[in-house]
Amino acid sequence: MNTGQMMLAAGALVLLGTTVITVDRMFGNQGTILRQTEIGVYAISLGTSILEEAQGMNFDEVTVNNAITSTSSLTAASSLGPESGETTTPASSTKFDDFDDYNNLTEGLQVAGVDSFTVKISVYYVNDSAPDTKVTTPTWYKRMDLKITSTAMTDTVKMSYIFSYFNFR
Amino acid sequence: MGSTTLLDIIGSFFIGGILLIMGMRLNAESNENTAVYNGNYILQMNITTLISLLETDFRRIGYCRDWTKIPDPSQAVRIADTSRLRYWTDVNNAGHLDSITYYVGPPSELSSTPNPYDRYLYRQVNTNTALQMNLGVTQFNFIFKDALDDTIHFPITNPANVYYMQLTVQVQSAVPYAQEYMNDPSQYDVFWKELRLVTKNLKNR
Repeated sequence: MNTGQMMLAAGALVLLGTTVITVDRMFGNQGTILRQTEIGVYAISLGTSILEEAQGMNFDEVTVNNAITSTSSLTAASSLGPESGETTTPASSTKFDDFDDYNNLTEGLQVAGVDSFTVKISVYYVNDSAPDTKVTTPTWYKRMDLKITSTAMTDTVKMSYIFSYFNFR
Repeated sequence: MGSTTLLDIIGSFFIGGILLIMGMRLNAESNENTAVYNGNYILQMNITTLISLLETDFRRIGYCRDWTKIPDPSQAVRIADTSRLRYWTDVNNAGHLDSITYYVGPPSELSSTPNPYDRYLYRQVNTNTALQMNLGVTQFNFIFKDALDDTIHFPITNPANVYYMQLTVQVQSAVPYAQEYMNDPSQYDVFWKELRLVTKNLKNR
C-alpha cells in the first residue's frame, strides 16, 4: 500500500467517523428533547393535580361555613395564604381548606424514576374584565399561577386557573 | 503475487471490514433509535389525547342540562371499581341523562400486539356498542375518596360516598423495539398520575 492509498483509507475512516459522531449526536439530541417533553407530561400531571385539589377547596376562609354577599367580607389581598396551623403537601392529604391557602407555597415533589420537581404557587385577586392583572382589593375572582421546574427541564411549565365564588345552591 | 501485494490485500480487507462494521452499526442504531423515538412520541401523543378526553368527560359527571333529571348529584356515580367507572352525565348537553362507562379489557384481547400488557380501553355511552381504544393502555386505575378525603376500599357498595377520584394511567408502546424492550422496558412507559380529579357536581350535595 503506497502513501496515496494510505491517505485515502485514512480519509475514509475520518469521514465515516465524523458521520457516525454526527448521527450519534443527532440521536442524542432527539432523545434529550423527547425525554424533556416526557418530563413535561409529568410536570403537567402534577400541576393538574394541584389545580384540581385547589378547585375542591372553598373560595375563601370566610366562605368555609358561611355564604357571603359582599367582597368586603373576603380575606384582604395582602393576607392571602394559609391560616395559622394550616399545612399541606399537595401529593398527600391536606389541611388546607380554601383556595388562597396555596399562596406562596413552594413544594418539592419527587416522582420516582423520573425527576424531582419544584412547584411554586401564587394566588391573587383579579377582575373579570382583566383576568391577567393582579388587583389589591378583594373581588369574586382568585387566580392561581403555578410554575413547575425540574433540573432536567429547560423550560418552566406554567399553568393558571381562575376560581370564582358562586353560591349555586 | 509478492508478499507486499498480499499484505496490501489483507490490509485493505481489514480496513474495509472495519468500515463495513461501522456502517452496519450506524444503520442498526439509526433504525433502533428511530423506532424507539417514534414509539415514545406516539405514546406521548396517546396519553395527552387520552387524558384530555378523560378530563373532559369526568368533569361532567353528574351534569345534566335539565337538572331535574338528576336532582341528587350524589347518585351520579353508579359503579366505582378499580378500573371501571359508570356515571350519569349529559353527553350532548341535550337535557337527557346518559350513562357513560369506562373500563379496560383483558390483555388477552390484544394478543396480536407484541406487548403482552397492553389492553383496550372502552368508553360506552348508554347501551351503544362500546368505543374500543387501542392507545397502549397497560394500567388504568382509580382510587376513590369520600368527603373526609379517606380512601374508600373496594368493593364499593355505595358509590354515593364517592367525592374525589384519583386516576393513574400508564401507556406503553404496542410494538416496542424487541431487543430494547427486554433490556429496559421503562423507556416505553409514559405515566399520568392525577392525584385528584374534582367533579364539582359530586360536591353539590
